Amino acid sequence: MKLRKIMVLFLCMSLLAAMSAGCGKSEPSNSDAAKEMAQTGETDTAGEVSQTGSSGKQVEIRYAIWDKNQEEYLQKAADEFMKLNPDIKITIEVTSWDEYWTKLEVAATGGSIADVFWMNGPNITKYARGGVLLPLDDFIANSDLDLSNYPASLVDLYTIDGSKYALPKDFDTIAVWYNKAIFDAAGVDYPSSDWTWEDMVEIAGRLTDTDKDVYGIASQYNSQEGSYNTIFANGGNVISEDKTKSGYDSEAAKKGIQCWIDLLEKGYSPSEASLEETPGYIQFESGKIAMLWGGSWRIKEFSQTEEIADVIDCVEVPALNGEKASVIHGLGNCIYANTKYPDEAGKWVEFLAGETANTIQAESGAAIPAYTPTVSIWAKSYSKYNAQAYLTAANDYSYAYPVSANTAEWQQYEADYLKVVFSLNMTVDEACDKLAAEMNKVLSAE
Amino acid sequence: MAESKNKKSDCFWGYFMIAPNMIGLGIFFFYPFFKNMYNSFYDIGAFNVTKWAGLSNYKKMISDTVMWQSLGNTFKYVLIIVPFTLVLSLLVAVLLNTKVKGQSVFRVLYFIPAITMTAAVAIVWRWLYNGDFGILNYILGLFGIPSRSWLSDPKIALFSISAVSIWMGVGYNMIILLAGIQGISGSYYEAASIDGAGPLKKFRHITLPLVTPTLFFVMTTSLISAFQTFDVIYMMINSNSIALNSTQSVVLYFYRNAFVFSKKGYASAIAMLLFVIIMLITALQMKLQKKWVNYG
Repeated sequence: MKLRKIMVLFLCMSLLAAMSAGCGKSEPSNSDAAKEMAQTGETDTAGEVSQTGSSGKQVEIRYAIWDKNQEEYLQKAADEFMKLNPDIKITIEVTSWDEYWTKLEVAATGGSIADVFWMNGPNITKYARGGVLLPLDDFIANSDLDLSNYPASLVDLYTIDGSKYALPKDFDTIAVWYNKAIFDAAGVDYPSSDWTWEDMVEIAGRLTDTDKDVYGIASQYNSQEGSYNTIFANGGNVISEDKTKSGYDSEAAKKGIQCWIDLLEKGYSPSEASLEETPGYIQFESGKIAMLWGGSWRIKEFSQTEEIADVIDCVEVPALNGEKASVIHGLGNCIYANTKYPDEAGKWVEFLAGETANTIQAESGAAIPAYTPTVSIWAKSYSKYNAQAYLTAANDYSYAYPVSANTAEWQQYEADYLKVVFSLNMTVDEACDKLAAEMNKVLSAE
Repeated sequence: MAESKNKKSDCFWGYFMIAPNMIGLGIFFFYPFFKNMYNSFYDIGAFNVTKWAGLSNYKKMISDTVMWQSLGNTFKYVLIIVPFTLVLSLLVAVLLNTKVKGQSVFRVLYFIPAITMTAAVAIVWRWLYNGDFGILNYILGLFGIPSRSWLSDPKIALFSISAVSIWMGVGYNMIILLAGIQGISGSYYEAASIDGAGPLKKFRHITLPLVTPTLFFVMTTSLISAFQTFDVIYMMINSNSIALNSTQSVVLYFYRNAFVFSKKGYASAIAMLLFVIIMLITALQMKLQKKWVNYG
């Protein structure tokens, strides 16, 4: 009898245990459940850290990133850093791009956010004004860092209301990739840096061979690798300089979008639907697309894709009405405002912004280092490609990535309307006017 | 004296035994439900900055076309998924109740989708459906049927997703219906055989009426789960897809408001609307069941 009672008790306990374990896996259908999860997460790690802390050993700094391709070099940099600072342990946490911002915001709300994490232009204002980020002004003033070593547009990007909230980690610009094998087969000369948009359209037409399922170019709705560049080249803007008005209802901006639609209408590009199911860069990697506008972050993956690595190269973007334009953007490293270890986190961020970490970054080719004295090392690591095209873009014709306080909100409208245009279901005129109206509403509420 | 003591201890053990479940229900269902209701009257932005909003979230819902579109999509899912799942799972259950060779193998095969992770199912189906490389287009191509973008054409994506949901739902409901069918006494069939009834007549006049209580259960649960369709869409439709607005369900729109757009108060109001709709429909069903469910 007694035994049975004990058995029952045991069963109940294991049931309870199973349930609480299951909670971690359940879909956070409610913000509180998610918050709860996040909070338990925090106490766990806090307990762990304080344990190691009390034994006088190591402090753990968690570092959240979203690009798996960059984990390797960052681990190398972290190892280097830990050699110099044996009392600090760096743990890199990779979350895929699709989930990164959702997770970061929930973690920030619940207080379990990493001590140091990646930030980008569209999100910096929201996080800085939300009080999640540690202002870095004093920290920079007391360090050996010289901000003139970083692209000015990036330093500006991460300066919110007069304070600096992130140190630039890398930067990216846009160039055009092409598949030499397709050019050779069609007997077309490779493009050179002095080419124009009209040249590109003409080449795309000659390379398109729908029987073989080969298209000259990929024209998909893509702001950073597509329409932003042509809008800027046309003399338009996405958002006015004082960030109060949308630029989409101007003729220049409309032309910058229309030129992509022309490519689709001429049949030189796979349809928007096709490019959505199988993104342009993957179709490029499988040899179905001859030319692709691509950000510098693509270079590493392309160089490692055996099927195309040896038959591709890149070239500067073509001139549109005599003007070239490339968006410049870059990531920054931020520190959580309420981190338990601001000094240790600061040391790590300073190290990441310094020459050693940037040299490791440049040599690995993961991304163009933001510390400009090391950019040439990056170009050298891709000697078989014309990687210089990306650096020329940064120096000669780069335009800052357009942001405002609620970037994410108007970007949603941008995507909603322009995707319909790219699937050829609405005219550029109509969509741009509607988009501008929605955007102006968001901007006036800021 | 001894008896009442026994009763007390029985009571204690009774509550003790259901405690794990009740605590779970309380923490994961009742508390979030009331908290959600409370939240729907507030503006909750990024990092839980909370502001009293009164009824403004509900007012906003009325003029939100995307919300109404996703509600319309949800009804489409329900109208497609529920009837097909019911008919197919009843059909499979009846067929698997006859003496076929390899009966248990078939039962396992039909049940596999029900125990496979939705994420895995969705990824595999995404590949089957892929417009350029998918096997579905390849097979259709063999018969001269032109390729389609199953998941990014706004006109058909909803049906493609429904097909996967049905495929996943049939196995689970089939098992429940099978149990219901096997609970029917064999003497009815014997009597019918003696009277010369064929298999179709037996199904129509014996199996169908006597399985209605199970059918009712299956219908109610699959109706509720169809209203809450989320995971398949979330996994199969990218957040930047042109088909998003024509496929997203209310729950997906709720999720995007709460966790992507940081409008948790508004998301809570949407969840309340869905709650009211599901409650009304379930109540209606409970009422209507008296007309067709046969408890023998």
